[in-house]
Amino acid sequence: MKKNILLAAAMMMSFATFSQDVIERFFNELNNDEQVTKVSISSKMFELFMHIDSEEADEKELLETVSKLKGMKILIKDGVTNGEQLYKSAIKKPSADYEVLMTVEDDVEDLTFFIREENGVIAELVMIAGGKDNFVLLSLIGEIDLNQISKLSKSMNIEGMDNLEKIEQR
Amino acid sequence: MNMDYKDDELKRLVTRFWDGESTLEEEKALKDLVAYGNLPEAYDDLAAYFESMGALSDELTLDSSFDDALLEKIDQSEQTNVRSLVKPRFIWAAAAAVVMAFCFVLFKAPNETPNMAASNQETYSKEELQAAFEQTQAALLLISSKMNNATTHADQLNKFHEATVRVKSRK
Repeated sequence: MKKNILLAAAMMMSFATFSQDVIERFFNELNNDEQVTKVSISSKMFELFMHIDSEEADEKELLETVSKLKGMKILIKDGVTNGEQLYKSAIKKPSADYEVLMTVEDDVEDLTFFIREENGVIAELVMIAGGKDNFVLLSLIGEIDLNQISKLSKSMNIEGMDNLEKIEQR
Repeated sequence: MNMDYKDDELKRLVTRFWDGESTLEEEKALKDLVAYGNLPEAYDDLAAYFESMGALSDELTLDSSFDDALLEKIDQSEQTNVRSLVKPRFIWAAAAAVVMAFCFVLFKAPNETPNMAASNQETYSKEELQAAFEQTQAALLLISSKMNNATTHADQLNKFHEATVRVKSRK
């Protein structure tokens, strides 16, 4: 009886620990850092997006992608000197639940995408990017369609970190 | 009770007693015979039996302290039961409850930060909704462009690999 309870407890604890997403831990670690911009979009907000009227094709495509999302968290640290160091630290954080989707390392910036699957569906996409003077940690939660996300920037012809300028602290 | 038994009657009575067929009255009559010394010597074994039972009965008489001692034993036994059965079960149930509560907090917390929890209870203005939408759009486009850049890198590497293979095959 005791052994069964211990085993069940150990399994539950390990499951709970694996489920704790990497961005949440970084959110907590860099909580008091004034250089950090943190954005959290709740599932409620995603629900409200569905009430936005849009006639433009780009926005409709975006709304379609957004409709399956349940949450988003972004952590951006600009004007840093240790962006590469933060990147190396962050990519060690994901637990066994996360799998590397792709990694790009070049002179400008290092980048890794992680995914977490649930029942054959991508339930979380984590992007970690670190350059000489910046660090970005981004997590999308929900039902994620990589093809749909990939199409977004192609249709709007956007490249690089230009979009970061639009992100403001909430 | 008539103590003057004829030999035959007495013999029958004693036989019934040893066979376990005597009534309580017959047994008492036999005991009286022994008590008053009226039982013939031929039945000494019966007399010895009654005497031994009488002595044993005296020994087995319980005084008032027996009840107290027994009740004390029962109390001790009940306390022992509580320690050995109820308490360990309670401890394990409590431990399991604490672990489950801990896991519930860990499992639930990551998907809902305090800010997000607070925001669930709020209503948003049109401007706030628009701002949030723009931020989401920016983030998704950022992911999208990075993903496409990475894919382009991979495509270039694939093309390089294919070209290398072709050159090697020509040689």
